[in-house]
Amino acid sequence: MSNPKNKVLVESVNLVKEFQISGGGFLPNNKNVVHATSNVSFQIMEGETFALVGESGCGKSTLGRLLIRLLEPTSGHVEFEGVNINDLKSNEMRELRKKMQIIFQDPYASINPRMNVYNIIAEPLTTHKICATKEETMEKVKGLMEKVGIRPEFINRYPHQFSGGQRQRIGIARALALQPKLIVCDEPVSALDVSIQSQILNLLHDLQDEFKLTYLFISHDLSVVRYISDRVCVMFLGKVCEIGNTEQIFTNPLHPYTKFLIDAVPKPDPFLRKENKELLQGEIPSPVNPPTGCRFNTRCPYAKDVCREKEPLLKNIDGRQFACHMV
Amino acid sequence: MEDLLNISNLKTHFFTKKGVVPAVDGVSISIPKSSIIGIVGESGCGKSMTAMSIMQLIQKPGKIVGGKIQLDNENLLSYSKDQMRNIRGNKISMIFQEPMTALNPVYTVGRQVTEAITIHHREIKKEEARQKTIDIFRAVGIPEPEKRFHSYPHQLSGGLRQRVMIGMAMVCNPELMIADEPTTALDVTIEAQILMLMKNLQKERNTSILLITHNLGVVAEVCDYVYVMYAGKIMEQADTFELFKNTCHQYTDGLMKSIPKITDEKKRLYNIKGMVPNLTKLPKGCRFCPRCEKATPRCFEEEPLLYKVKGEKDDHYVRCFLHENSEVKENE
Repeated sequence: MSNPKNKVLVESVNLVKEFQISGGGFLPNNKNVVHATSNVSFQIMEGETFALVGESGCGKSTLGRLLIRLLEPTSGHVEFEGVNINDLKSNEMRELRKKMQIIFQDPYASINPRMNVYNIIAEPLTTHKICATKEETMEKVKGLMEKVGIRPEFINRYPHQFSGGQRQRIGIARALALQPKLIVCDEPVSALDVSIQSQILNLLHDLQDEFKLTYLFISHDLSVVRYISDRVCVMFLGKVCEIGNTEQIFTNPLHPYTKFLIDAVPKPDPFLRKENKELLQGEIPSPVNPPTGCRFNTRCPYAKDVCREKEPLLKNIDGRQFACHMV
Repeated sequence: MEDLLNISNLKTHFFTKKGVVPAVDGVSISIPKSSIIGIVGESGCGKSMTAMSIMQLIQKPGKIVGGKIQLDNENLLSYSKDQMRNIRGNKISMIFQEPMTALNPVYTVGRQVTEAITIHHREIKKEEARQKTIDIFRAVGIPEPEKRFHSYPHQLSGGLRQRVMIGMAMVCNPELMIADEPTTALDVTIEAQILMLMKNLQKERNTSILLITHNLGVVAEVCDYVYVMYAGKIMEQADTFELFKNTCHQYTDGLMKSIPKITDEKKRLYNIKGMVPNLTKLPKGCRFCPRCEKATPRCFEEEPLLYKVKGEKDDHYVRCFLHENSEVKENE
């Protein structure tokens, strides 16, 4: 894909995000806390695709929003090009937002049904006063539409006149409008049919080459992640299990959770069918009350006493990071 | 093997203001006893409507306009409403994609499953039905079934809710269970558990399963025989192994090539060009021809039939002129 450079674009430093919820009781005083992400640190290099994978509730979307400061962290901070973005004032942040954009999962919900394509794509341009004249804006919007594969003559159409795949393309054009450096792709293809999914994945790939984009790619679909990403971060219940380059993660996973996750994916080849596949038992524990020690210990078949008592730290071996006592 | 359910030339059309939508347009499917049959296709191809037609749950403006659905040599389409009610949930049951919307939020899951028993078997006493419910909860792998009996759907996770749905579908020992995208809303590790559970139940109880999915991975993992649907018609049908090894239709091939595979290196993904056609304005000739790379002028004029493919397995049929021969599937 792209050549990962050695320059860090975004860094997550000990990010913690907790959401207060009222407990199940009748009186609102018993406050509970959802531990969405706990102490997550990683770096995203310029020009790479960094994937966050995990099951629902593992904190991957929260993390994506924290990285572009759509959410404020409970503690920790985010550095974008060496600047701590959580210290910036709102006008400084607004300036910086040009460099960070987001594409959402549901193309039916993420674009305004009352705006036509022109207004949707031009909105970031006018907000940030990029273009001097209306003609220039029009030119730019048409250029963007062509880039994402929507015919410019559809400029006055409304979202309901497009299919899901085309709407996702509009969302991508909107994200591209400000020529960002980082695009957070939050499950951009999971609502789409397979034949459309492949078109969007190819498009994202081409745009990355053309505009030297950095992607934070959030997905639960490991096959898609394997296809698109350079490096992968596997998360479980708000914690990082393992970070490594895509090849290493998929061919030689170190953390037991990563192994089970890869094994669980139904493979489109009946000849790989296994009769007695070893499956991960149980369900994902509640993030309100995460297990002590390693958060994965309640589902892990290799768990020992130490896993239940002590939280494993992220170890750094041969350029890979993982958090497990047993490896 | 003897067929449990035989659908022949089923047509379910929707009569809308914009014209007639032939959602299911002459589909023939046979489901042998104790087998797992898959229907794959993209959204709008008519796979769910085929399932709903079997259950006769088609709502206006939709209507079954032709064909036969035979269960034990009786045509379900000639049944009265009462007779059909006796079939649903008893002989043929169904599970849906989103268990939260399929379960009633104001009743406990135990009560909902018990209801399925008492409606079909009036002779069963309340206490016995309760015991049966707890037994089926245990069989579908719900931990602490006595406790879960009193839970409301919102208190359960997505995986557990789907287990409740499967339990409800299995509790009357149906001959056929229709599963419409049963794992699409679930996480991968839970999806694997549910697929394994369905496979095991099918083996233990000799129930047949009609599995409807868009996911070729799920098909490859569990199905014995697969039908590939496109724009209301069967495009290809074959034994699962045969279908993956000797893919004949361009659409099936395109689908297989466009999914990123977890076992594969990175390479550019294949695209099927264009989009699914509008069912009210279907192209003349083959429905797939505007998107097909190998289409000939004839494909735009004439509609192909299901031709038999001479492969390793016997019952492989494909709707494509490239495989034309004299052996055509009956009912065509």
